[in-house]
Amino acid sequence: MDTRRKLEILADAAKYDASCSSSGGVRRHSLGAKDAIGSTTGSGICHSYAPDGRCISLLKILFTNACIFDCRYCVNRRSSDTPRASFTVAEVVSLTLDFYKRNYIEGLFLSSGIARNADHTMEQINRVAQTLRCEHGFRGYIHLKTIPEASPELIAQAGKYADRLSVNIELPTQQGLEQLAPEKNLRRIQGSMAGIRARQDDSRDRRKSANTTRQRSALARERVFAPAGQSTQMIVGADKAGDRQILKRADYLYRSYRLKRVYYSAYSPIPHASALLPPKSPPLVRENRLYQADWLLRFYGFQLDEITPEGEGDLPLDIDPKAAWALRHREFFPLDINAAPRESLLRVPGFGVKTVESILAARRYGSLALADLARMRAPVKKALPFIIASDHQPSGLQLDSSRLKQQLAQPAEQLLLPLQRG
Amino acid sequence: MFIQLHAKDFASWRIQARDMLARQIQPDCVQWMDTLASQPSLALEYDADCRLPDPPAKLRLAVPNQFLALAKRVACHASPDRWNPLYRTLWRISVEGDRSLLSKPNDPDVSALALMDKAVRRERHKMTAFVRFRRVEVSPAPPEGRESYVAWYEPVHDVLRLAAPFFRDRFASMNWSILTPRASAHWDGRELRYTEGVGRESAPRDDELETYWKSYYASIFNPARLNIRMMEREMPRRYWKNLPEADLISELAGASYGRASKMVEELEVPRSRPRPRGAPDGSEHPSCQSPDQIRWVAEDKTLEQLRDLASRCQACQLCEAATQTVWGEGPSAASLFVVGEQPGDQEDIVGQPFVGPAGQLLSEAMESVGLDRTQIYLTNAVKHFRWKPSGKRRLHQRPSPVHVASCQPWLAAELGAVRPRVVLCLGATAARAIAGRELSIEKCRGPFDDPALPYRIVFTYHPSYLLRLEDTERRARVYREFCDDLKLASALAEQ
Repeated sequence: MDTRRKLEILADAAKYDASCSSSGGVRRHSLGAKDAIGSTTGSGICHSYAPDGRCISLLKILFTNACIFDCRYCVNRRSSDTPRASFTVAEVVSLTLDFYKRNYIEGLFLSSGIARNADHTMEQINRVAQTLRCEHGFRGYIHLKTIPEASPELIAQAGKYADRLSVNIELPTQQGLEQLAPEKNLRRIQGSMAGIRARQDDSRDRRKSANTTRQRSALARERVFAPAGQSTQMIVGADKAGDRQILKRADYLYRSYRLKRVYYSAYSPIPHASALLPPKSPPLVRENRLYQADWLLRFYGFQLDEITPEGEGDLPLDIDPKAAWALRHREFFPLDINAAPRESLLRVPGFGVKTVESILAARRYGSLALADLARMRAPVKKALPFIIASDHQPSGLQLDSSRLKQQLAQPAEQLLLPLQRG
Repeated sequence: MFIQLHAKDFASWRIQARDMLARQIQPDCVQWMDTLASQPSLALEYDADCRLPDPPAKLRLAVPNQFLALAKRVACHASPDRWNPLYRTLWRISVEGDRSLLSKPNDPDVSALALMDKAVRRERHKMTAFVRFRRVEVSPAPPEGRESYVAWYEPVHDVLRLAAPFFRDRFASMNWSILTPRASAHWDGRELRYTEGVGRESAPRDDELETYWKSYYASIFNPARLNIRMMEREMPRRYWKNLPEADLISELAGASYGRASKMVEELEVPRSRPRPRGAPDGSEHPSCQSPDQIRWVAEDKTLEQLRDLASRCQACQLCEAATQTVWGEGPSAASLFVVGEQPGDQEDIVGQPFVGPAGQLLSEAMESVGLDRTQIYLTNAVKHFRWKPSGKRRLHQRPSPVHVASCQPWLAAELGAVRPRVVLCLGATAARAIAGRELSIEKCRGPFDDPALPYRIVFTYHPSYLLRLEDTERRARVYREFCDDLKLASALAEQ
């Protein structure tokens, strides 16, 4: 089979992984270095967009799509009759370099089916990364998928070459995994994440405690363990788990293993799918609501119980989770933008972190009116019923109105978030 | 008086603006225009009929760096209106003395500049994303086997000079040129050079790798999630003409409906095939669901077997939010057996007891009284980490009596396997697990003998209690007492 056909099969097999981010981690460049190529900028670049609206930042491929596992939601499961292919290490290395030199990509995202056994596959993945880094002086971005079943030494080696590592949890509960991914095990997956965090902590602690010049220079030569951290993915809508369960697991993973990102991927029908699975994707807007809720948890100071109150399993699809909270807590509003503290302003529907920072900066020099908000390009329309400005006072009627919800509801596609970031 | 000026780029505008400022020309009296292509001169050209005031002999201008950086970017904007708000802002900062002007995002001038700045930054970013190099063979071949690449690009704003350093830093080991209608940038490994703009025909037309790139682009697209609007928002149509993969967009988008619905038709009935050997499976062994079950399975097991059984324990709720069961550590024939409360954040991650801050303090104290930690069996009363969310972290939460009771059979099994002479209880939770009731450590610190037990007990503080004490005097006293208790336990164990 020629490389181009393999590329078609193994890119097609990799497309269900939502993550494509090339962000986070250290800044590197190859200026002044001999026999080196590549750089990382810290924030990542999307070099193209596919017609599904997803960013193409990395060469995202599987090393092989042969797999001994039989996860029902996966196109590469053992019992599927999808065409199979395997790259060689040399093929992946040269494709990565050729694409990179033409500025098509930021680097490589290499994942794989589990051929033969976990250690064998992990070794192949590591060899690709090692060849790129050590033989070709590649300084671009490398994201390696680590296989939870692989031995800890191999995962440690992967972290030496990769910017980011990820272990996919796929489903938020052990019951879900037992039903759809019988060979996977939540405890082992989380144990693997814990192992990655432990090595990161260790790498960081040793840098912190290096006192002498000699210690520091020895550390400077050593690669930082996975400088862009770790991420994971959860499939939404393949099992029965509700949004609260999904977010609870995500919150738990962020706290416990310092994950950089949890990706939510709406289950998408795959060719030759198992009949245990729903024949249709969940509405894509559900995926977006989860991302919005995830952002609220991480950057807006919301607690899980505020976003998905106990007893309410799913996020509403018609309004965003912040607006939903505001509607449940009308007594919290209206807020005076000239006086309210940062953490309260962050709860105003429509206001993002940037808007709030602008308001805080601007109000130090004088009282703000609606025109000021417009000049700062703050999205005012959604916020109007909830805020007081020097020339604006929402009528009490408005906040009590049952029509407020309709006002806040927006056509879903306007809310699609880009997947890059973070 | 009204002055009309022509600026071509940031450098020429800067000279003019300094001159205007020096002559105290109000922003209302001056208007900048772009230099037209037919006006090659960069020199100051004032309209003849105005009499400018003379500049002072010495001009001292202090302009914040933040403004200069902003002005350099805004100068790249395609709008002919960019110079005037720049001069007005400069005037307000330097002449009117409003040094904090740039931190007022609601100011009309600052707001207008911010909008242009954002457009320029975005254009620069898109250039780093959408430039596509094509490989060329040049003769004579460049030294050291350097490869040569050329790209053609048409930025809306004049961002070539802003973006070129990015390509230099990334592709330092290649020779490359980026050609645009306004100017071209070249890198040969030593310096970035800029030359005149050229036409599209000067750029190479093809690169054989583009067929691979297009194959990749077509394969990575998921037809079940077609979302052209999202794609166009991030990759507007005006960029498409220079992107080789963009040729495929309409074809892929058009065919996607059929592809997605075909998949629904092909739904498979699950077939069961034998699971291949070597497929790991954690669910084959039953897990302990209750303390009674633990007592049942734990009988006559070695420490290693117990550890394995405990790793799957679900006798209380704690296993759901913890990473792993943190089992005890130490020689199976240790004479001193230390019981703590429960694993903390770091113990939960690493899977070993007493590796966090409290564990370090314990090691320190042991060392100071001459105890060898490796000769002691260390474990916890509760073996899963109990925590509650706090900020972005996990905050330690004391285990409840239910958790202690659920986990007690494991502790009993460990005691049965190790058969120590002395059990040292750290803190009230350990005391509850060993003595079966709530005790105040302050009151019953020290040795405790129960003739019914095959070991002696020593109660002392938990090291994390010491860490929490803020009063240094009190802390020193408690630390001394803690060390005394360690010494005592060690002495009893050696008897």
